[in-house]
Amino acid sequence: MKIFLNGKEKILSSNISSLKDFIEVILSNEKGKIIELNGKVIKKVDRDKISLKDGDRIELIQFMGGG
Amino acid sequence: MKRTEVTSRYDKHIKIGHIGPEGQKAMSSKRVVVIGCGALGTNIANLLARGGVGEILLVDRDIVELSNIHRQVLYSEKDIGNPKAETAARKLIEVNSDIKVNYLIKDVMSSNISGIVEGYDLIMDGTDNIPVRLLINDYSIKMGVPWIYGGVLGTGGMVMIITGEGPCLRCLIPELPEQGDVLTCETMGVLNTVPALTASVQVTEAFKVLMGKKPMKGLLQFDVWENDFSVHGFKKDPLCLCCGGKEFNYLDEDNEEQITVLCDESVQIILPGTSEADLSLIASSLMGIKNLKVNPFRLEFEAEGKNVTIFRDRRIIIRGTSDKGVARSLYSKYLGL
Repeated sequence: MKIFLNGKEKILSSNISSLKDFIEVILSNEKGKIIELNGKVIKKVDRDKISLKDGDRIELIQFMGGG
Repeated sequence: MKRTEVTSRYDKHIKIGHIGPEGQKAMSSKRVVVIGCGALGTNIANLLARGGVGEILLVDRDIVELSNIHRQVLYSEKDIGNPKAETAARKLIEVNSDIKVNYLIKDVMSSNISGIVEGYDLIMDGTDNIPVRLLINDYSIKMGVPWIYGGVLGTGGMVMIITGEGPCLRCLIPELPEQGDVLTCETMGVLNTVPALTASVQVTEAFKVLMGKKPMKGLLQFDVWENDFSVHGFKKDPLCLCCGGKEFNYLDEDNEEQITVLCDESVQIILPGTSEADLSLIASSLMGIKNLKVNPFRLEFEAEGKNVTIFRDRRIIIRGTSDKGVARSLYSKYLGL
């Protein structure tokens, strides 16, 4: 499957079919990460329910809370 | 210095076409509140005061510590142990006697935010935790007062300008993260150039807002070490409970944590919510912290001469202080909440 990760094309291996798989395989650390799928921020509780499809656009944003 | 010298004071600003004499005059009649006087807050307040914003209110609950001085520009070694808000205000009055600088040594909470912020034209974020930002966000959207979020971590920074119509911070963070799910400067560190740069962008946008000009849209993200700068074209979530649904639950005092001083002079914080704390997740966010111990029932660590114990039922006990503000501040710094 081909997706766009932070604007760049990325080919996902066949063992990744859901957002949950993507998080487990691609993200080394989910802590503090905001995940946007096709322009919509995905709540943490919903991340396990979502399947990925060809052409999906994922944006990963590391939230910065220090001041 | 007399007001007749105002023109020469701001001469270099006035020469910039974007500002001019009208813009400078507009800023002199505006009132800005800076919440948090740490690294972002001191840089923000410094630039606002030098830039000629008419009235500035500084709000912070903390005292100056040695570890602050590498990045918190209004403090020097002799200020250690003094309240940050008062110290910063004193320095800024020396910088610019043409403006008014006030301070409050307080924790901003749902019960007092209206009384503190009412009547100000703009709220600047110098805070260090997510709950207070969500509180500011709710107030801002409800009352139509713009605020400028800034955040730092390691070598990275972020800025977003939030106005009444949205998008707002809750479009980005729809729910409060759990304990242990936030990275903080206490564990990740922060390069001292990052808050200076982040605050410079926040204040540039503040000048635009105060002059009635259009500020930047989207979420600015950067990593100054990697020289990587981008603006994320962030859009309003039509389902956002705050800027969409006008539900302001962070302003509700019932959703605030309960803080009490116990008989043994320790401080207990009970977080709102019902889910159990994930102690192993919290432990993973505190890697490298002194004397970190975790078992299935509780997590314990030492910081700044105090002992912090987190229980699964959302209770936190902080031993070594009986000051609620010190305890809350310590918890915010290490857990980012």
